[in-house]
Formats: sequence, C-alpha cells, structure tokens
Amino acid sequence: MESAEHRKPEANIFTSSRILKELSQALETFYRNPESFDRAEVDKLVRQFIREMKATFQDSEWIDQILSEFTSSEKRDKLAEWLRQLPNPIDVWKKARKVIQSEEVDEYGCDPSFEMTIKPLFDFLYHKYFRVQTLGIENVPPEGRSLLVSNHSGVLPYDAAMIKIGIYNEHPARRELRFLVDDFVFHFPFLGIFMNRIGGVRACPENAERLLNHDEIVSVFPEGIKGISKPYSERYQLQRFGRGGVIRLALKTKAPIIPVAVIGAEEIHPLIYKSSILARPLGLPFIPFTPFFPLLGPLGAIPLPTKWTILFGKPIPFDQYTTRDINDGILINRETERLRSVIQEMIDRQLSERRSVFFG
Amino acid sequence: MQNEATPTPINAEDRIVIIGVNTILGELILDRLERNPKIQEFWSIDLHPPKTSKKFKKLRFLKMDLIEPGADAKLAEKLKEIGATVLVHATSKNNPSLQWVNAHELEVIGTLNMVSAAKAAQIRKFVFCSTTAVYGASPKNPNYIAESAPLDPHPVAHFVRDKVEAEKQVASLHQDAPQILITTLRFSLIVGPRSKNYFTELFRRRIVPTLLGYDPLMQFLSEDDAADALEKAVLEDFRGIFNIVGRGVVPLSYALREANKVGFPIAGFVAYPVIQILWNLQLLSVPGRLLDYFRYLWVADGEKAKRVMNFEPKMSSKEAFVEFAKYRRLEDYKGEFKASSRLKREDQGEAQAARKSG
Repeated sequence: MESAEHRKPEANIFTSSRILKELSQALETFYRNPESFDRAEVDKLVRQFIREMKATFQDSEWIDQILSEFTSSEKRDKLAEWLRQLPNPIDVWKKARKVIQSEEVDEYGCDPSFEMTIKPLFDFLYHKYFRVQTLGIENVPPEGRSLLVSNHSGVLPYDAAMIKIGIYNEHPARRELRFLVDDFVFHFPFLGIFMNRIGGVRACPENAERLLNHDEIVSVFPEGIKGISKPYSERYQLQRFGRGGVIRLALKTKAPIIPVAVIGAEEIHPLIYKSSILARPLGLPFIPFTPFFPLLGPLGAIPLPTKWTILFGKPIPFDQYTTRDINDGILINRETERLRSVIQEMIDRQLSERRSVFFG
Repeated sequence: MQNEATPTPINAEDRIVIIGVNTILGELILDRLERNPKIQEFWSIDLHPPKTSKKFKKLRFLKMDLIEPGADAKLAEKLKEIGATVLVHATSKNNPSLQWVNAHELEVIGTLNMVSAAKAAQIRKFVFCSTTAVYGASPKNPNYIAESAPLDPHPVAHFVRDKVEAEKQVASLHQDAPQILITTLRFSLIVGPRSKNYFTELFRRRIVPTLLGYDPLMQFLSEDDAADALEKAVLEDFRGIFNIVGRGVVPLSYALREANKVGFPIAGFVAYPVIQILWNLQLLSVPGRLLDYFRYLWVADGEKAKRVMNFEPKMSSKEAFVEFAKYRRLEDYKGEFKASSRLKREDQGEAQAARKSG
C-alpha cells in the first residue's frame, strides 16, 4: 500500500509535466503558424491533463465541483448574471461617500458627518468596553475658552478619544473638544487625514492659541510622547510637563485650566519594553512591547478592558497675571509644577479608592 | 463719465507703473485700472506688450528687457522720466519652468533690478506680488500660517526657491530704504477662467492624480478677489505683508468631488519619481519636487488682510474651485462644438467634391 502511494504521484507528475510540455509546443506552433494549428489535438491534451490531475487528487471531490462550475454552461451563465447584477463599485463608493462625508469641513478640517459615522465605535468603547465613569463634569464651562490638561498614557491615545466622547455625551452643552495631535501623525498616510477629520489639530503654540482665541475647548497632554511610552512600572507617575508651554498658553489667552485625571488608561497596554531603534525607519517615535503585542500579532493590539474613571477638577484661573509675566521663567516653572501636583493628587486620591483594575 | 469723477487725494498725483503684464495678476490689475474712472493714465514696462493691448486706452506701454545687463539703471531712468510714484511688481511667474536657469534670471535678477531701480528713482510705494507657496508645505506647519512666520528655509523646488529669494530681496529693500512704503501681497492659488498655473493645468482633465493617503486642506482664491485685493493695495496705502487667501479651506478630495472630477491616488514613493519624469518630458504641469504641496498643509491666515486692509474675499475656497471647474467644463463643450462643426463642414466639402466628380 505504501509503495503504491509513493509510486503513483511520481508517475503522475512526470506524465503531467510531459503533457504540459507537449501543450506548450502545440501553442508555440500556433504562434508560428496559426493555420496549421490542430485544435483537436490540443483539446485531447487538455483532457488528458485533467484526467491526470484527477488521478492525482483521486479521493477529493472538490476538484470535480470546481471543474463542473466551469464546464457546465448553465452555471457559467448564472455566475455571469449574478456578476452583472452587482452594482458598480464606483457608484457604491460615491453613494457611501455622500453619507459619510459632509459637503464642507470646518476651518480646521473637521468633518461633522464623518465624526458621526464613526462615533458608534467610540460609544461602544466608552459605554461597554471601558465602562467610563465621568466625575466632575460640572467643572467644564458650558461656553467660552478653556484648556483641559490631562495625564497621558496607554501607548495608543484612547484617553484623548474618551475625554472627547465623555464631554460630548455627558455635558449638557454637548461641547466639541479639540485635541492637539503630535506632529509625527501628520507624516503618515491615512492616519493624518483620519485625525484631522475627527477634529485633531497639530500640536503647536500657534494652533492652540488660535483655537483658544476662538473660544474653543482644547485638550492638551503636556506629557506628550513621554507619557504615552511610560513603562508599566512607572504607571500613574506624571512625567515632566514639557517646558511650561501650557501655562504660557493660559497666560497669553487668559483661558482657565481644567485639570483632568484619567484612571484606567495606564493599564490597557502594559508596556514592558520600547525600542526606538526599530521604530526609526518607520518614522515612529517608538515600538512598544507588551506581554501580548508582537507575540499575538494584531490580537495583541486590542486594549485590555479596564474600568476607567475620568475626573474633571476645579478650573484654575489665570486672570491675575498680565501678559508681561509670560517671560518670567521662574513663575512659569512654579505654576507648571503646581499644576502637575494638582493632577498627581487627583490621580492618587482616585487610585486609593479603586479596588480592582478591571471592575473599579 | 471719466471727467465727472474726482480722483481721491492719494491717487491724484500717483503715477502707477506696472511691471509684468503677461502674468495673471498683471492682466487683472490692468483691467481694473482701465475701468477705474479716477485714473487718467498708467504705465507698463515689460518685454512684451499685454496680449490684449488694444483694449487699454489709458495704458502707456514701454518696451524694455528687465534682465539684460545694466537694466537697473535704464529702468531707474525711465521711472524718473515718468515721475513714477507707485511701482507694481507682478512678474512673479505662474508656472514652474523646465528652463530653471532662465526662470531664476527672470525671477531673482529681475527683482534685484527692480529693487535697485526703485531705490534710485526714489519712488513712494512698491507693491510686490508673491505667493503663499513661499512658506513651504510641511507637516510641521501650523494650520494657519501668519505673515510673521519664517519662509521655507530649504525649498526643494526651483520654482519656490526663486520666489523665496525674491522675497528676501524685497525685504532688503525695506532695510535699505525704509522711506519707501512696501506692500507685499502673498496670494494663495488663484483659480478662474483666465488663470493658467501649474495647479489649474493639472486639473484640466477629468481624472486627476492625487497622493495615496494624503488629503491636504487647500485654499483657492478667485480671480475677482485677487484683483480686488491688488487694486486695493495699489490705490490705498498699506505697509507690510499680507496673505491674500480665499474664505475657508477645503480638502482636495472634497473639492474634486464637488467639481465632478475623479481622483487617481498614487502611492508617494511611486508618484515622486514618475511625476518628475513626466514633468521632464513636459507631459505634466507639475514637477515631482512640487508634490509636497499636494501632500502637506500650507494654508495661510488671511485675518491680517481683513483687519488692516479691510479686504474680505467674496468667494469661499470651495466656491472658487467649483466655479473654475464649471468654466473648464464649458470650455470643453465649446471645444467639442467647434470640432463637431468643423467635421460637419468637412463632410459637406467632401460631399460637394463627390457631387462634382460624380
């Protein structure tokens, strides 16, 4: 039995290769001299080849099925009919685009229709997945400029999205939060457009100032990339707050700062190690290594379903300072430290009340 | 009509000289000055007279090559002869050129000659037409670039490099002769029935190449608004730099959709070399080096012009683009109509010939 099995495919391979060779020769003669081309002979060769292939896969029925799909004219007609009934993909795309995109974007490139289209996904994350609890939403003013300053964590910026959705869902004024996005995002294809259409603006002093002067509500993460790439062992420990740009911005625009503490985001991707050498050719700031990420492939990129709490603190006014104080480095530094300690305190208080990472 | 109108005190003794009449801005300002009843006559110095020179009755055209050696002295002489008080620099090229050495001569040496002539002739006002492309397209740009922002430090394209250099020369004029009132207008992309620039030429056809995964916010300015702003700058006095841009922004893909055009996305790493080759063969109007302008943000802030010059564009960016696309479609129909009527005539001619021979 064993020997028979061994012999059979070998013989078949040789015969099928011989047939293929003959077939190619026949085709070559067709190209050289089409008149002397013998159709019957080619047909015979093809039939022989199919027979050989059948013999090779004797036990399998699927080859018969596939062959019958292509050989019976009825089925072929049916397939063609079905294909004809399919709508033109270009038309489908045009219709879908009319639903997804609005006619015009606002002055920063945010598209309200597109935002609404993808909002259900973020709503699912907000209500069902992270089960976000929002506290102190009354501290967010219903109108006028204000600057939200928050801790930043979790490798991917889910925290910015959740603060945005939280303010939109829970606040009676349904305010549209503008979040500032790091430069490197705008180098990337698709990602930059996506961030821009859902209301992200490049993080730079000029943009933040303009937004606040137009009485928008802006969220800032002064920790930046350093916060996002915090290792798991340093969770809930605030990093350095940049060079005091936040305070300078508040002094310039006279916008009150609302400290925000996000609890739960620091555990969604427990970062063990980060590699910046591997990330350099990709133009990324770092490549994260978590217990799951490169190991489980794309599955590892799913965040852990931790229970979140977003805490909005009392607004800190900056009316008492004049524009001259912007150049006072010591004052800026002191205020930055004060802001940092306020947020750290909020985090610590909330953490002491939390019993479980996943159930709150 | 003309005699009834009384010229305003500023314009009464102003003698306006326009240099560069064959660019879109030159044509527009000539049109406006011709129509303005307050202006009795104006001068133009250029190598070629305007294409529609018969139309302008108040225009005095002087032929002169602005880049030949010693052109600055000659130009200063002519300006003194005329008694010019306002010099309008509108020679800024609309299109990148394959002969970039020539383009450099025209743009940079031409500006240099004009600047030194303006200094020597002691004119009162110098109006310089530039473009917002000098800021450079980069992902590091703020959403709205103010006039005080630095210019592109390392422009890749010769087209932009020359414009940045010209800007620097005008800035040096401001340092050397602070008594001259300098108005620099940086126009965003001008679209409309008459303007022919790299952008409008690229968007002639129904299928438009775009960059895969990038959809920058664009600003378009209608010709009418551009002419309004330039006329304002010439007739009234404003010192400083102003961005002249259309109202609002529109993503490139949205503009294309509104204009019923089809974008053909090409991956960046393929697009840059391929489009550069097509440009070298003169099959496309855009060099590969200029593709950053279809990739990243270069939107300028028009608030200063609104505040100081009281200039507000009538058309939004989207409206301007749609208007331009409509006009192009009309032009295409006209072309078809002409072609079909010519074919008919040919058919008739053949039929007649057949009848004769038969």
